Amino acid sequence: MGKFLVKRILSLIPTVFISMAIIFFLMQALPVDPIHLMYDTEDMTDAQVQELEEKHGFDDPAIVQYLRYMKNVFKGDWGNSLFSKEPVFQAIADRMEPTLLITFFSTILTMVVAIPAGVFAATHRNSPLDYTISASSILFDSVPTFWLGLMLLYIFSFKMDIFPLDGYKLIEHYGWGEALKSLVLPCFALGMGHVAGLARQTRSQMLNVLSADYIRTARAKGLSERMVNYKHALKNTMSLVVTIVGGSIGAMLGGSTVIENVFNIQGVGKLAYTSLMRSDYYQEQGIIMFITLIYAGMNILLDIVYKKLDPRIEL
Amino acid sequence: MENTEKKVIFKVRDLKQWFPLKRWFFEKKAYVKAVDGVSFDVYEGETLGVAGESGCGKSTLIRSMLRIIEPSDGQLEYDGTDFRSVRGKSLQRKRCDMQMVFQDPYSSLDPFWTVGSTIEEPLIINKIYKTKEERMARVRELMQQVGLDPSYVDRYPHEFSGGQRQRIVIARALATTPKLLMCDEAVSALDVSVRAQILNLLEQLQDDLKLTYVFVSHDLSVLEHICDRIMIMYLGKVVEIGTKEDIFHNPTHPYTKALLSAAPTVDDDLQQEEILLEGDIPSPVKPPVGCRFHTRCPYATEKCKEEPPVVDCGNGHLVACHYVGQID
Amino acid sequence: MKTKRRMPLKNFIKRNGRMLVGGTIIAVLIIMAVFAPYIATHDPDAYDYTNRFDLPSSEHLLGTDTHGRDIFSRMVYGTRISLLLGFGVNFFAVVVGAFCGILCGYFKKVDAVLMRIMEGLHSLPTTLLAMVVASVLGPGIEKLMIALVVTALPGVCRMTRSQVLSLRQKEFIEVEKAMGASHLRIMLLHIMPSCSHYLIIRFCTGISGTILSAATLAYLSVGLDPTIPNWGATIADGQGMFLVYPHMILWPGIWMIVAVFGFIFFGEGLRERLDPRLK
Repeated sequence: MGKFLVKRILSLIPTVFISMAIIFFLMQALPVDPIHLMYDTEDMTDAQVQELEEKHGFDDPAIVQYLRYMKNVFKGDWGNSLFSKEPVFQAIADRMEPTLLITFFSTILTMVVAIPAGVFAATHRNSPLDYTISASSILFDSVPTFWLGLMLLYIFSFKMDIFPLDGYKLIEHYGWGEALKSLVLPCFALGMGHVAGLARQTRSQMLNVLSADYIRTARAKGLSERMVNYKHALKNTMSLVVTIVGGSIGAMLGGSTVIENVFNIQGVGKLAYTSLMRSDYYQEQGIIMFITLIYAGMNILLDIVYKKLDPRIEL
Repeated sequence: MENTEKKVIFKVRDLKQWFPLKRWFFEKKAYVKAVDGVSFDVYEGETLGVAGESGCGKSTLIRSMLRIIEPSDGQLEYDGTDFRSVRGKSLQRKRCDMQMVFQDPYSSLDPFWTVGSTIEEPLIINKIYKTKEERMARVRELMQQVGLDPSYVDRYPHEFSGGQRQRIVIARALATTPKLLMCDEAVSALDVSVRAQILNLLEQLQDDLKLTYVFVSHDLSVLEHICDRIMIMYLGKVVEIGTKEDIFHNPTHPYTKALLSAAPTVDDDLQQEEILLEGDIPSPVKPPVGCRFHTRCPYATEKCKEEPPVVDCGNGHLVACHYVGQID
Repeated sequence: MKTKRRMPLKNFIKRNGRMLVGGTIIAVLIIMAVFAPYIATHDPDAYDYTNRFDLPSSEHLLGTDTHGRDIFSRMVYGTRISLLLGFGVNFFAVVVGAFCGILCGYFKKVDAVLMRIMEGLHSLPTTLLAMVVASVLGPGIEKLMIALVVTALPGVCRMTRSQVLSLRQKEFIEVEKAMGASHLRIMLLHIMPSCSHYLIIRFCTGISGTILSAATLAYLSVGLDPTIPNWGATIADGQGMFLVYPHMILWPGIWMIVAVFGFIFFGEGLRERLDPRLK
């Protein structure tokens, strides 16, 4: 297990390196000179601007700058926001809470809705319920997340006044109850977009498993239908499902940008958006790297779970 | 059919095919030694069988001979000229002389191409014939030669049975009028009744078109039917080679004996005590030193850890063993 | 050996129902995009501050927005952008992605380099990546198209590559080599057709995702000039006062849902149709 972990983490590094390189070079291509963002350059002469550029190393070739940046990252220095001059990582840490909570609960929500639906559809194949689930899953897929968020706000926050309208309440200040309450709608909006895909995959995987020979054997043994489904079929379906959930998480982390904008939540996603709008590229890079790392870490975790579930694969 | 003057059409000397294994930088380089120093001759007009269990390297051997995979080492000589160093257009021309027939009739044909186009393709690639009519005439001729109705030219592979598909594969192989045909388990995937048909077809074609065959199979009964000489391989090396009669009636190498004893035959003369081998086939990454078979050979001694000599028992019957003639 | 039978109409609908329904929606959208000036009831850019926030009426089928513009007309013209992006992005994603995938699957050396880059791209969060690329390139529909193609590429490349890898095991490819076929010939004439099945389906099913992504980006005011009528911007525009005038968001949203649904439905039908037939 240890060797596997080490191998996985090691293989992660080049990928992250390349991902960040892509982002770094893209950000370099932004038509904005960082000096003008960091300093009030209205009255400076060109020479002074040049001097500042040299001081910060902005006149070095891009690759050198990139390597320097990554070296610093390893040391823990993710740079300072060009806008607020605060350390990038601090800004992320301050806003991690709602984003991570949303991602976590959205995933749970998606799984709780989609997996039983998929299992049910598979075990009751070609029944009217199956068709309903399949049809509604396509419908769910068609709904734009941001619109759903807005509609939910309108119905449940405005009209019915159940959930708060104005953004996220920090646990620190308002306690878990209020905090979670303010997350219900965003989680729902974000999660629904992924329910369809997961349900469909669960259903098809379950169908594959159910038609396998070992299921027939289990039935022949005299096991009740219920036992067959839960004990044997489900376990095998889960391993594939775990992989898909991993993909959803990544998508949700990225999707948090939109949702946080809709619900006015001061999370990492919103910061990513505002940073980009301000061309605050250190901050933007930091956020993207953060999300990428979390996503990668999540995948490794899921791999471990997957391998625990599927005994055929050796650790 | 043996002539006193046998012309060698293909010579293989010390052929090696080693596949590197992926390793992290701190681990030593390792290779899968699929073919580890094989030498033999192929005579014009004969059918040379290559027998052995899975993993002995026989499939890799013929692919290396045709340079579908480039050999790691060794010499190949076709029709008197060096075949390994040939490139470009002359390689292309030589390639027309040797073609392959594979095992699986279902994956040997591109499912998206019509049968006619598939057989026609070698003609297009090698620019034989200038016009489409000429090519298609040849295609129809080939289809008839292999026993297919030429009107099926526009049909797709999935519309044919396994045996018919194999005929299509053979027709395609014959398109460039090759002299040498390499068959890799050409009938193994077919039903037994169809097998006989295809084998008979191959024999017929050999007579009509003066072909030479190298026929790989793990099925000794098939080899017995069609081959003139047989070569037995084990773990990347040849352990015995000889005429059909020599191999079946006078198997000399312990492995050959074990192989034959395990094969069920109807012929009482050939039925022997079954020799059970112990252990599993060693990994081709780390083959045993010296005689590859010594780890499982019931007659092995310390001497067997040295490379065995190739002993000529007369009439081209060669055996690679230290104890030729000393084992009953 | 195959006989064709005339299918009774009921069966025909049952078999191809999804494609019919989806196809109808798509057809309507295409007609709307092409004949927008004739279908729209008003000039989509016409400000009318005397008629802001109007509810849907016979005059303004979907009401008016914050600037008094007719929402229905804006959605009709917005169809142009959505379809252009949907078809354009997926076309290029599929063509370029397939090209990369085939190269990767075929040449080990290319694979080592290109797949690394693709993996790097793939690990990045898609929305953010698209946003960054769009910001770097500046506003404009072609630039947005490039941004969206970039996010879609790795997936297509990876899938095509795995198809190619499994094809390479097939014996007919080895035969091609034995015959001396050139690499180009093998790639174009033998590998490509076997991948085409996946690629066509990917093209169709990808359009819905592209439309949604484009709308999301437009909603965030990334990549497109918000005055040009497009679906996302319409919803973003209505956000300000939507609690009071929800119609500004409700109907455009439903419009989008129907449109995307049409594409997905069609794609599903197409996939079902093509799948079992092949073997």
